[in-house]
Amino acid sequence: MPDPAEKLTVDFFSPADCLVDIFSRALSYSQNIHVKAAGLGSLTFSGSSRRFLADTQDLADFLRQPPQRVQVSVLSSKTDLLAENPAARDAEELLWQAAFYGSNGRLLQGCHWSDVVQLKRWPNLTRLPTTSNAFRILAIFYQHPTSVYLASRLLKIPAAEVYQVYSAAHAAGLTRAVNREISEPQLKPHRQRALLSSLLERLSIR
Amino acid sequence: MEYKIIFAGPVGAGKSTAISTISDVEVVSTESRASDDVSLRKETTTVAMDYGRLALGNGQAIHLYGTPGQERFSFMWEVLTIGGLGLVLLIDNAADDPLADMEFYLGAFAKFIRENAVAVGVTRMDLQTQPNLKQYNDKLMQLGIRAPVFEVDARRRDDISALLQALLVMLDPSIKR
Repeated sequence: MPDPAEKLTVDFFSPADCLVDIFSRALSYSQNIHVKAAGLGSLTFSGSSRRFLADTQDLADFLRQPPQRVQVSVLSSKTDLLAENPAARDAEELLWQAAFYGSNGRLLQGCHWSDVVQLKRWPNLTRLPTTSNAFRILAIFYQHPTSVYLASRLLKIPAAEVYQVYSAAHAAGLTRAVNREISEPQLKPHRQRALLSSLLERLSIR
Repeated sequence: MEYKIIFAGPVGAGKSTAISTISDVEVVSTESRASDDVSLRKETTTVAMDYGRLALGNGQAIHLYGTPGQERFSFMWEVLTIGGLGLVLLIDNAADDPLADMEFYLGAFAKFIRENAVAVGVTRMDLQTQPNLKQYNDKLMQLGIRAPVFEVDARRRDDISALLQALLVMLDPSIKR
């Protein structure tokens, strides 16, 4: 159990302070929108087919823009140009990225460090930005739902990194908060833990 | 003791390519000219196994074994898994029924997966976008299997590395690099 005497510093960010809110709303209302950022290109997002297509040199830079720096126009809902476009990507990848870049080590408003988090399914990590420990964070939430706080402590990872990964996964709709008391999961060490660690280290070298 | 990771999946899913992408040594392959319906898809196919190796720098190494994709070589699959740490399953999204392929291979390696872990890589999604990853995840849930599923290009080291990293943390989330 978390020690109540131990103070956690948590900075929050609002989905309205980054582009998460714009895309989440379009998804909720099945709206098709076009988002343009001066000098950075544009992006078409289809809430109806849950896909997007970016026309940008640097999507990360585009997604770091605050909402007041982008122009949003609503497109016709009668035709969805992205539904059959093989270059379009899944909406959840965009929401992950928007929250990941918006987080900057902060926790998405509406989430809490004591949330017991379960990862419903893995994000498509081969096509998404991650942190150095994102795989471990996601694995613990996938296999042993626990609190953000305990995940940070058990894995010995800075809380800010867990916040960033949790915020991205939450915005992408990949997590659910489990309604139960926080308990420390019993992580059974693998019989070849040292070997697995060496391999993980080896794979991390580019 | 030999530590190994197994790469499995249907013909043409990218097993040989994935192993050669990540291996430190030139892959030892038992390719033979395809003679049956496989020849419609590729000129050669693996008939026994592919072998690659990842050195760990402390004298240890991980051996990478690719199983032959054709069902008639399935008698080799179980033998190859003995002593394996985990399974990487590659599925070709441009095949006729990739979800059925995944189900078949998960069934064929069910015992090994129960005792270890599996990570699924879906290849050729650039050519065929359906089924999408959510449909793969839904199928896994239906089969009662929990596993990461990623879109991969078997020629990209980062993609194969990500699959392997996911496999490792599924085996033990608390491992540190």
